[in-house]
Amino acid sequence: MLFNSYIFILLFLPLCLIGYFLLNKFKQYTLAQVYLFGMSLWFYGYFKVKYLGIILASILINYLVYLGINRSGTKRKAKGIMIAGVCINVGILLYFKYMDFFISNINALLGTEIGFLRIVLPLGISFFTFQQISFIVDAYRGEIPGYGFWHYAGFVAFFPQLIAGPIVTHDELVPQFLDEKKKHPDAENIAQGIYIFALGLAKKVLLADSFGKIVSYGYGNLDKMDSVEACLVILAYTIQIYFDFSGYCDMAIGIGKMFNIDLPVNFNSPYKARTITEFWDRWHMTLTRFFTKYVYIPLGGNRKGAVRTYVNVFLVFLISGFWHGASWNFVFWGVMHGLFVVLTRRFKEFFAKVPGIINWFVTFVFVNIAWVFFRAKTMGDAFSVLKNLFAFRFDGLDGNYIEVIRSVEFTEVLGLFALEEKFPPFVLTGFFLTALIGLFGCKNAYQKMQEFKPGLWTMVITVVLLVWCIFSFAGISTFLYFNF
Amino acid sequence: MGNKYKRWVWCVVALLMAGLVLLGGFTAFIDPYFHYHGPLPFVKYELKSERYQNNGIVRHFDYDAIITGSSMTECFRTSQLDELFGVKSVKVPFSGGSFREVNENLQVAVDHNPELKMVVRCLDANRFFDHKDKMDYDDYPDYLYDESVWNDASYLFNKDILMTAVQNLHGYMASGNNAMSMDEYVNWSNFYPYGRDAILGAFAPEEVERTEYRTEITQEEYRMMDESISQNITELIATHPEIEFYIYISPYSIYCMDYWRRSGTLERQLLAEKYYIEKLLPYDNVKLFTFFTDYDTVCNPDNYKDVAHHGGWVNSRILEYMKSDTYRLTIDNYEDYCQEVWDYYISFDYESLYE
Repeated sequence: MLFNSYIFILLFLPLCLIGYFLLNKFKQYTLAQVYLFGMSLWFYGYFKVKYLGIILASILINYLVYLGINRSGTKRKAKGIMIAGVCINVGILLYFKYMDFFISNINALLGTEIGFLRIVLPLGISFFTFQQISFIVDAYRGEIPGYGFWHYAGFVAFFPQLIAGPIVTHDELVPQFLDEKKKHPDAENIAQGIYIFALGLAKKVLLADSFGKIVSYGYGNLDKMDSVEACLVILAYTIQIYFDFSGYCDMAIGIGKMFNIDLPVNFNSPYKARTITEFWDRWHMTLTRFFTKYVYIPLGGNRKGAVRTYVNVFLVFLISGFWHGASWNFVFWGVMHGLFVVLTRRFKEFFAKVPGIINWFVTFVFVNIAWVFFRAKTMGDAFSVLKNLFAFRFDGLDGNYIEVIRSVEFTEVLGLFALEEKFPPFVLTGFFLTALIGLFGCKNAYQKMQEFKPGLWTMVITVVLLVWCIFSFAGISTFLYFNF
Repeated sequence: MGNKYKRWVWCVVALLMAGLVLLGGFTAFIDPYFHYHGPLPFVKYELKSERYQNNGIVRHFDYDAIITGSSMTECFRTSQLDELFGVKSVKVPFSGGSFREVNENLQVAVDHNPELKMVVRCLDANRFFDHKDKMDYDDYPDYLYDESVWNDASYLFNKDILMTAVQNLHGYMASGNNAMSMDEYVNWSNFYPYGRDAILGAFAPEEVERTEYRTEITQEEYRMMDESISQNITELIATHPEIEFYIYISPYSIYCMDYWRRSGTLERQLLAEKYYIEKLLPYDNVKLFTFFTDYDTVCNPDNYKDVAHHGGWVNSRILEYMKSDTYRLTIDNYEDYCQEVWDYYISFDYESLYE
């Protein structure tokens, strides 16, 4: 189920909230937890019922591993079980996500003709696998008090964060489930939750999806693309992926809030970052946190000298690239970021002397270029976008870039004021300006939630955005981060 | 403090529901795609979107005859059919529509309208070898087609449809109820140039790829045709003897014959046509027509905008032929027809078309 769907907003979410709080009201705490788990399974299985088997098996196996670690008696035994658990998780991920990638590379390298498995990637598998790896590693480290099965299952399957993060750790979620004060509806939390949900929904439906149309058109017409269009498409994707992913996370945080559950912040105005390291402190923060705790530090972090530190940093980004998708594009994207982060750290003093605005510009341009490899279907496509960009060819803007984002409300409103006749690229310019103001001139959604006041203005914004978004659903829309 | 938040939440929920009910209610009331009811007298409906409106048309319009098929039927004038046959007809073409798609719409018509007594249906020869379940469109608005109300949210809370509803009402207020007629519905007859140059603008004979040349149809192909004919054409005919089916095979131009010849499929096309004829003729409620022996039509490029699409005057001619039983096939004459067509088109001097 998508957050931006009729069934979610009009049926699932109200049903889920009412059922959860009613059961808690009658002190049926375990039943409430089971109910929430059941609803989460409905949410997940709505995409494809077959997926349910995978997530249920994954939850069950990991819980057994957890019990095994707890009852192992010796540290050595516990370590063995933990390593086996991590291997099972990584194995599941490798099988479902990377098998065909390996096969295609083996075929290319050895000239073999091994058939593809054509496995349909279960949604969110990268997210819930990582979450559970962190759980069993923490269990081994003795950082987990006794968790009942329902709390564990509820934590992994908790639907707001299930398929696209943020990557929540058990110590953030389970204690909140256990907290009796959080089991009753809280008007302030619900109000904040609805508000932040509406903002996230608007980011996704009104902005990201519109920019997505420009991007799809551009990548579908690479042979016709001139330099201005290449620039436009690259920037459009930078905007799209941010609003898409952060919009999703805002919605997740908002829904969590309605249940009195605080989910961690995942974005902190990342495009305002002045260095690439700062960018990674602001972009997909829970992923960076995961890699730091479970990969970078176990590799030795910065404790083994400068060279090892750089190697560790680079490895983290290599794995991160691979985690994002089973293709060389993602690996290349990871390598680009890894190298730039290493360079930034190596020449820290130099960068410190460069004026902030230049640092910001370089970082922003770099992130834009790197996203090309992230978005393109093949390395060839990515390079042809860059080739078009640097060809300095100017054929005049293809009118379809405006046509694809011309939605009915803009056509009608602009028709009234004849704005487009006076200034033809009005819609396109308007979209980019709105997005850039959103990126650089606005507080991020989390800050907005903190400052939320239950007044008329927020009420009007919330209702207008919700109605506008709901009336914009009927098109096709998918979240970019589902396949990672 | 708590009360303020509570009031805010309830206000947002109430306003959201009010907004959805009001705007969704407006869409349902105007109903631009006729999902719930037929046209209202004080609304200027625009007929323009086949896959969104045809389903509603056959469910809720007042009619007893239907014209249906692919884009070849878009230039029919229902007023002519009404006049010739004394019926009240609707036109529900599906541009690029497969046999299955057209048939499913016919099935809805039959299910919803017991008054239906006449169907004019076009069969496209380029669909003869299609799989029985072929459907060409992915993003189909399924919510309009099924009987479920649960997915109607996609119709009721849809800004494009809402805006269409606003325009429909506004259109009436601005210019009265001069709503588009069925004659004009997706009728493109006056919008294209016709003739040899137009045809050759879209068809480059030297670029036709030659597929495997065979003069016989395989058993597998016969099986596929059987399945498609039975599922998408004859099942409905057999279960509704009270409805008269006027079926015709669309008269593609001589250039299409040349296309088939160049691609190595002409013989198979003609054999397939014969097979379809043999499958359809046994039904008493079928009147079957083909026009490939109307050489004045088929061999005159001025009737065509491309190899297959003919102008509206050919559609008019077809209805007149139907009325007068001209070019009608029967058990007695069909073999002679097939032989004549075979002899003529196999031995035709196609090079002369390009001189």
